[in-house]
Amino acid sequence: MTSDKDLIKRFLDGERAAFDELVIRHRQQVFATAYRMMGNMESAEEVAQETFIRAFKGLRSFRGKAGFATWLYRIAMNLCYTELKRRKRDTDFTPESPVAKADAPHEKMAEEERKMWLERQIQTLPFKQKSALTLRIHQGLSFKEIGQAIGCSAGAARVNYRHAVLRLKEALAHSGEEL
Amino acid sequence: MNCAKVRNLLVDYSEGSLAAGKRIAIAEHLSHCDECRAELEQIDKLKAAVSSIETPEQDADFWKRFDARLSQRLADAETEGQPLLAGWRLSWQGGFPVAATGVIAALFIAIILAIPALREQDEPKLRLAQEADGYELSEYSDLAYTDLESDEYDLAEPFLGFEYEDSEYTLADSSTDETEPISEEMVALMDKDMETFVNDLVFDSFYDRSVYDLAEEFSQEATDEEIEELYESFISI
Repeated sequence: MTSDKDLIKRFLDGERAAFDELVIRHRQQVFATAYRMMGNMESAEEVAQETFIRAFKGLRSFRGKAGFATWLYRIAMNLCYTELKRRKRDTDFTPESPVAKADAPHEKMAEEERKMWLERQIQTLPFKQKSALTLRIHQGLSFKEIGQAIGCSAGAARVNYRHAVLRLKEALAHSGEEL
Repeated sequence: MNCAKVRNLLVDYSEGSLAAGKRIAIAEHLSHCDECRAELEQIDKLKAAVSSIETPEQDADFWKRFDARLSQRLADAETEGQPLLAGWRLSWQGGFPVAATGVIAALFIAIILAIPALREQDEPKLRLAQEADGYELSEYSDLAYTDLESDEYDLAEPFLGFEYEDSEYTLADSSTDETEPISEEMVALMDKDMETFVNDLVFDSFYDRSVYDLAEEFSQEATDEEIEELYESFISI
């Protein structure tokens, strides 16, 4: 498989299709990350679109110190931060419910409710804690990569992640929910 | 190692991100402490639960529409040409004026860097990395800057910083005009991981968390004796 680095070089040399390949390769993860940060499909799609537009415009200045995917996450996180700050809707999240199956057993429904509860709690986390949690658990990034994506040191990324987990754990204890 | 210290490090332990010495000490503690083991189990369960939350599945039609819309927007972007650089915000602790454009900011940086006399004569030995609104001021540069859309650096807008006068350090929060004297030993300890310390202050509130906890939390390398010595030297407590 052609590396991101090679696709970027080909794009910068004038091969427009190389950028399309980069989009296809990374759009799912960018969209998924944006969804976890924004909490709804419409905003996630807009963030994902805008991320690739900004990447398209700024690729000439990308130095490659971080990985291309990490750079995309950084753009996406910046967009999410700006939009969330503008909306100030940290606690207005209503998770989009998964399609309920008519014959789902009671335990399955309880599990879905617990997931929704957990999603709501995650949406109330401070931005960098939510970012660190999302990028670590769902994208498997190292703390160094998370730091590059959210604009802090690896140590700070680790601290943000730790605080996110501990906050969720505390919320769980107070709510009486069980995992 | 006592339970309080162990529990503070269990998330890092679960992630495998502790130094060997701490990892071994915690493993030893867990071997005989049921409560801390239960805490670790809760953390692992929570992580698994978060991991199990899926993004709603998108079908082929969704991506077809996504690609079509993006293609149109990229074509529009190509037609418009490259955008001008976004304006930078400039703010400096010494009370310099705020600038709105990249041109003015660049000129200002050039002037500041070219005139050493403008810098404070009695400079602190250590500098604080500050973080606000996603921007970061480098520990080693007065005016490092970060444009988050590329890899260029932009200018930070600090509100929390060190003040150093008559050989004394003070931590100052410009958003509340509150200050806290701080010992050089504490500053030296924070310098090991300055950004983590600042990040804790920014996100957990300067006055809501014990500075003892902060010192212990980010200083993974400090021994218990070093931390005790630090507590005794901390001026305000």
